[in-house]
Amino acid sequence: MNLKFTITEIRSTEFGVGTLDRGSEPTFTVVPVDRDVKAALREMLADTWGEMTALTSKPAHYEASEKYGSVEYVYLEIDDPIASTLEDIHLAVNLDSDSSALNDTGDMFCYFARFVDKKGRKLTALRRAGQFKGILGKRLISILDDTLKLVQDRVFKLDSDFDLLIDESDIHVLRPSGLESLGGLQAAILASVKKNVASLKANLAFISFDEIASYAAVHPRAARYLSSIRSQSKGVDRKALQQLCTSNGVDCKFTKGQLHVQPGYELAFLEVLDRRRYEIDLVTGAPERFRAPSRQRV
Amino acid sequence: MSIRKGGGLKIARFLMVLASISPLFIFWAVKGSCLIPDRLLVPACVALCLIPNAVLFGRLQVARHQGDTREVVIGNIEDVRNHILLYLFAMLLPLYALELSSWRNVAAALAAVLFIVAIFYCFDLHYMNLLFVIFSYRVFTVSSAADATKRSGRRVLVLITRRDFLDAGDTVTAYRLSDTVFMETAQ
Repeated sequence: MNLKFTITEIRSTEFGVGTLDRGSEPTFTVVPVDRDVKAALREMLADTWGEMTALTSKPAHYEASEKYGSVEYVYLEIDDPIASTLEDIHLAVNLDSDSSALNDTGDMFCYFARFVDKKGRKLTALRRAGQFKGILGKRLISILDDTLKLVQDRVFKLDSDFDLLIDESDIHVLRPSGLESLGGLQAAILASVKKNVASLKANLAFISFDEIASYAAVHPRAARYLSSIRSQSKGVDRKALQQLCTSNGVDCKFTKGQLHVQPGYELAFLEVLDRRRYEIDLVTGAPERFRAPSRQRV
Repeated sequence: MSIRKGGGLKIARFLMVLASISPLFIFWAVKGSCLIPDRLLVPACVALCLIPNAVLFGRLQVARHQGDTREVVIGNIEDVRNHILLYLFAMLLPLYALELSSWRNVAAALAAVLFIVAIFYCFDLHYMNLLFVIFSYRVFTVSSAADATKRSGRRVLVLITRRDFLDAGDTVTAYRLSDTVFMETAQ
């Protein structure tokens, strides 16, 4: 997978921070930086892309229901409804500039860099502000002459790479947990339950989603399954589904031509639909049932 | 134009405001005063005229040296070059007409200048400078388009450029003179 951006031909680099005041929407502010910081940010970008391509050249599509490791290269389309926050950040223009934005780092939750290449294509890179913020509370020392001295000034430490990169069509993720926190995915996934159910109803008309929708509206894990199932709901056979539910102990019944999931089995049913529950008959007469928090198509 | 809570380059912005009213100091130097001898008034006025403009030029050089540029995306545009003419007539000429013949008048003139400086500073009007007009620059205010995403900046930016026109959707690379005032790098 290629980045729709030329890292070696960067025309402009901007740096900024995201702050989160209590109870309000995140605010993104540009902070003016000098040539050296810009060079460091470009280096971070190159390192991030290097790490991604070293992991795989064919990243998997991000699925909200999947459990990921701390560093895994996955991608998500920028126009995916759950990525709307990140799309907003990427498409934002003329962000307010404030050189005093770093005076108060208490509310800072991320920092970002926005690059423009010579073809005018934009790339946004984000990183959670863990170290960037944490370094302020520590005592730093440096060698000024031949002795160590305490650094009196405020010091901010940039990380060695970004959590994710956003180009004109995709979000390239190096740390899936970063995507979750920066994109506010939990809230976005819960908010998209209605839309996802409507989309599933169109493809799986034989399933009654009313009970499932009410359950998923307050259960994030179920909401994640719904988001994931949406992309793999076409062509599901009703008999095969019912059979799989029965073999995995998921209680559901056909009433008036619609498959109704019994209370208490909503999550298990969604796991079946998301290909996460399966049965293996390796031992004769003793079928084994498993649930897969993480799976990969082979 | 919005009033900001803080913002950087406070001294540079203050001196840029002084640069905005520098024609007034030229008027006062030419006109003279019966109270203050020319050997004091003229150098003071020349300094008040030259130093702030030198700072403005210096700020541009620093921005060039640091590569302190921004990509300004044109949304809603207004040509505000006429503001400069307006301010010349509305503000400078009445002050010029004020006779510096008594200490009370001098104090009144200085108080008026102080108020003007405070207003210009608070309202980010430090882009008002006759030199831009003299050197054939146009001054536009630029704000994000109505259909820009909700994270887009809400502040009105000032873009100083040699272009005659700006089209919505254009992106202009500009040096940052302050958090709200930008000067196009090259056309």
